[in-house]
Amino acid sequence: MAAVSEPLLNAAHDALGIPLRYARSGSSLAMAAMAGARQCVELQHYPRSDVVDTAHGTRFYYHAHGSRHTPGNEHGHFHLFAHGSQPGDYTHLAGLSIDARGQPVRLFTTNCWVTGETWRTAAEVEQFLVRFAVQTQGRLAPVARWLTAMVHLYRPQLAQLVRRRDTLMARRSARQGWDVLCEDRQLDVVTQTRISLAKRIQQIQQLG
Amino acid sequence: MKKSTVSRSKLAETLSALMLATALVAPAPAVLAADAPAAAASAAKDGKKAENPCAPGNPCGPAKKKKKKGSDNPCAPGNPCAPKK
Repeated sequence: MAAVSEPLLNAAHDALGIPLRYARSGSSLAMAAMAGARQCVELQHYPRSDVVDTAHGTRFYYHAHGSRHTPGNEHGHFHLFAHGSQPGDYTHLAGLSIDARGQPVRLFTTNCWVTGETWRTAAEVEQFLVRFAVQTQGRLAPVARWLTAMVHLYRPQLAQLVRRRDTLMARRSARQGWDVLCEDRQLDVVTQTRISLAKRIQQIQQLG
Repeated sequence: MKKSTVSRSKLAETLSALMLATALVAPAPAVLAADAPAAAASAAKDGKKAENPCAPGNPCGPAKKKKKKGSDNPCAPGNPCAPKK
C-alpha cells in the first residue's frame, strides 16, 4: 500500500476543516467566496479585483455564469491562475466549481479565449500546480487556504485534466488550426471531471 | 506511523461532521443575470479577441487593475500613505 504523505494529510484536513468552520458558524464556502457581497451577479468577479498573491505569483476569484457544461447543481466557480515573469502574463491552472452550500462539484480546464491567458503546455501547468499556494489576509484568507489545499489534494486529477486538454486541443488543432481553435466560441470548457470531497477523502484513508 | 493513523481517523470524524453541518447551512443566494453591454457582446459574437480581459470576450480573464482616481496626486486618496504636506 502506498503511504499517505504528511502534506497530503494536511491538505485533506484543511479541505474538510475550513468548510466545517464556516458551516458551524452558519455560513459556507459559497457565501464566503462572494467576499461580503449580498448578491452574486453573473460574471462579476468576487472579490472585484481578484485575490492576487504576489509572493507566490498566483491569483484567484469566484464568479458564476452558465455554460452548456455547467452542472445543474453548480452555484459558481473559482478560477485559479499563475503569473508568469512578464506583466500581463498569466496562465489558467484550473476552474473549481462549488454548489450553493460550498461543496466542490467539478474541476475543469478552459480554452484560450475564455481567460485570454498565455497558453502553456500541460507539463508547464503541472509545474505551477506543484508549487501552487495562494495566501491573502482578511475574510478571504480561509478561502485561499482551502483552494491551496484543494489543489494539493486533487493534483493528480488536475494533472490528468490538463494532459487530456492538450491531447484534445492537439487533435482539434490539426483540423481547425491553432488560432481558430483558440478563439472557437463553441469550445469553452475543454476537459472536466466531477468531484466528490467525501470520495477523495475515503481514497486517502484507504492509502497507507 | 501512529500519528498518521490518528490523523486518518480524525479525517473520518471531520468528514462526517462536515456532511452533517453542511446539510443545515442555507444555500448561497441564486445568481442574478448580468446586463451585458451590447457592443462588447457583439465583439465576442464576431469571434474577435477582446482586448480587455474583463470584457465578455474573455469572460473569465483576471480583473484588470484600475488606476485609482487622482492617484497622480500624492495627497489624493489613491496614495493613502503619502506624507502629509
